[in-house]
Amino acid sequence: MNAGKASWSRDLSPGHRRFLLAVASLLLPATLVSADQVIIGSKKFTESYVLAEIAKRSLENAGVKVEHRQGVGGTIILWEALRGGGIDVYPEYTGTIAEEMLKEPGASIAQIRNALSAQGIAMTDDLGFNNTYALVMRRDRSEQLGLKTISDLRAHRELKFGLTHEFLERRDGWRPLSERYQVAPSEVLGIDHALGYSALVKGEIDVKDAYSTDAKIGDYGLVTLIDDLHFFPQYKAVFLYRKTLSSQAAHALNELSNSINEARMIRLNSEAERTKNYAVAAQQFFGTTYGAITTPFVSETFRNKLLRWVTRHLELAGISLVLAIIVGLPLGIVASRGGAVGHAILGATGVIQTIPSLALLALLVPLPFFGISARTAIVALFLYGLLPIVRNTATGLQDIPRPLRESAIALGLTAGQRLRKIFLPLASRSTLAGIKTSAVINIGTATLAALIGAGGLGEPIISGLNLNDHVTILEGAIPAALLALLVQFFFDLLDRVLIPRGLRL
Amino acid sequence: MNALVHFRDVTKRFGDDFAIRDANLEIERGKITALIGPSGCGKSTILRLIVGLVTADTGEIQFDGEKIAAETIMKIRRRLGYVIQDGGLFPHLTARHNLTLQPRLFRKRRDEIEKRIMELCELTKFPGSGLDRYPLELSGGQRQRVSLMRALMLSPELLLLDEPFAALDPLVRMNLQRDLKEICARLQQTVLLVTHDLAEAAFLGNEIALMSEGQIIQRGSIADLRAKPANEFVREFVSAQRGLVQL
Repeated sequence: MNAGKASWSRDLSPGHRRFLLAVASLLLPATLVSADQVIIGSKKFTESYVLAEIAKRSLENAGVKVEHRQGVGGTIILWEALRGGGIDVYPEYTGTIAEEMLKEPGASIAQIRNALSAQGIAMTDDLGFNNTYALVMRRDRSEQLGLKTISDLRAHRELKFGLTHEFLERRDGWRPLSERYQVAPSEVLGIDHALGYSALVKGEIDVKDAYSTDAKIGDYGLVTLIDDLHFFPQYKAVFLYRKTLSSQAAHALNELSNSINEARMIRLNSEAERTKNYAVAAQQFFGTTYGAITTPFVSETFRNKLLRWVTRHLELAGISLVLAIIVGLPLGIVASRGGAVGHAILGATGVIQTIPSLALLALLVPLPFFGISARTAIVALFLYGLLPIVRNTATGLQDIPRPLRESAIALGLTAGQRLRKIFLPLASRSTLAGIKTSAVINIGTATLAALIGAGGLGEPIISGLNLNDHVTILEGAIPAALLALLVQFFFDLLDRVLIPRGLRL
Repeated sequence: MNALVHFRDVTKRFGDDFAIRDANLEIERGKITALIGPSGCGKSTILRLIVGLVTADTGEIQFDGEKIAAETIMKIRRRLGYVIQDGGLFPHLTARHNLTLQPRLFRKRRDEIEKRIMELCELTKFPGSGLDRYPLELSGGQRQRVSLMRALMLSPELLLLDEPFAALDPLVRMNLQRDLKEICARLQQTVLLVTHDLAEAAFLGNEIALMSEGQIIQRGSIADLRAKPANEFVREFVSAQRGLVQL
């Protein structure tokens, strides 16, 4: 990447180079963090957020500078980020480590430690509770059918199962469970964890997977079906951290082992979901454990949060759009000439578009240089932004009538003069339409950046999904929609400036 | 050897079809040569070969003693003016901007350009008030006048007109034909005019070259073509275009 940058920056005028530097410096705040700062990641569910906040407070109390990247992603993204150094610490569960990360089901704690150590990762002792998977049902429904254990489900094929996508795919998840218990329900749906709870409460599904410390189990008065065949492995909560962490920080994390039991964790989760504030829950933990609160928690006002989200959102969408224009215009010009190269360019940008955005993010995160950062989100958005710009530029240029093309040649203009003075202005309407499409798509897609901890208006949307809280979802969704309209409006104005008047008659 | 352009045994094929077959043609200085023939006979290709929009497969074309080739074409183009059927004016530029594009890129002085525009407005009877209009704001006839002005900006040695009046209504066409004849006479302009209209060729051309299937069949005045048609095709072509007067 750096080598490539160096080779083409040589051909650039000082003006162009200054512009590139400006773009690069915009990228920096997202990519550079001071060396001594510890970055804590969390998965996108309440307990992970709360544990990460507890770790944050604990490290801060020990005098360590900390940043918490909330809801960075699922197991794989966090594990890759931890190994790659994108994050330094995150809460995990022993069962997940053995099954999913090390692919050694049933490994002992000592075996796990050894295997992690070989990859430069250390693990604290367990935090004091087991958050295993469980199958839950509404109390009235289970009583009506007389269901108490998972084995009891065997006789009720009519029950509708709504399971998280992760549980459906896990090696300790649905498939082996259904084989072990010989359960074969007529209908199994994949559904988001938080949305699954409301579906369960409404009676749209009968059985769902849950974590045994989920606040919702208590809140909704759900029944946990007994794992009578002892299928689910132990999921003891621990912190994973990089061995490069300072001894002071590692010590602070290890202090937290055996400090939270199941009942306490359910209360903290419930508190977090009730107040919609993970830091408040963490504060409660410290309030009752250590008594004194060292740094009083000040809740960020909505205005500040909104400003932060919108700024980051515009940063993500804006920088990626500028890059897409810088790269897309020349590619569009080349593509307009057709031939094998032209087809290859249009083909490649088209193929990128078919990769689901979430998959593209997941593919980029493990690569060196990327990781969980705004940089990764910007690159993904940039790649998505290319197609409309390349295609519209190429089409706009190809659609110039032959007589105009030939008139420009006959006037004795050089190829460069023709392109600058005649062809690009004639194609401007189409090119700008492509840029507009890219901009609006980017504003929408940038909400997914929050999945890899890159922030933006996706942050409240994802938190809201996890908390099953529509107000929080709308806090992100409404500004994102308004932003898209605003961008559309801005580009409509820009059309009036940039499209020559003679073409608008 | 007074001719400005020489075609020597020029052949141009598009795929398997001959557009031009072993064509030999001279365009003499100071005269209007009208190239006429049925559509698809290759007459536009003759112009496009001179401008370098297409290149000959075999044979040689000389412009003022210089062979038309990739190395020479950019210089030669500056000595040509080219007007096509619908003018080829750039819609994103005003009439004035269409006119100044070429001289500005060739670094002519601003006041010289302005002077030339005024001269040409008078010559082509184009109102100065129309200069700041966009092509779409002009009538078809006005567009062709601007197009002619654009072709004449750098005082070209050869003016190439490819069916310049075909898309205009009869009255406008007649006025333009009359004005063009006057302009060319005043400038002693060498012109190669492509048309499918024998009346236009007869009215404007000092010399007519009749083409069929990529070859020049006969050259001469309209009287020559009538009196001594070279073959049956010429006789038929001439008689098919009898005007209203003879009906």
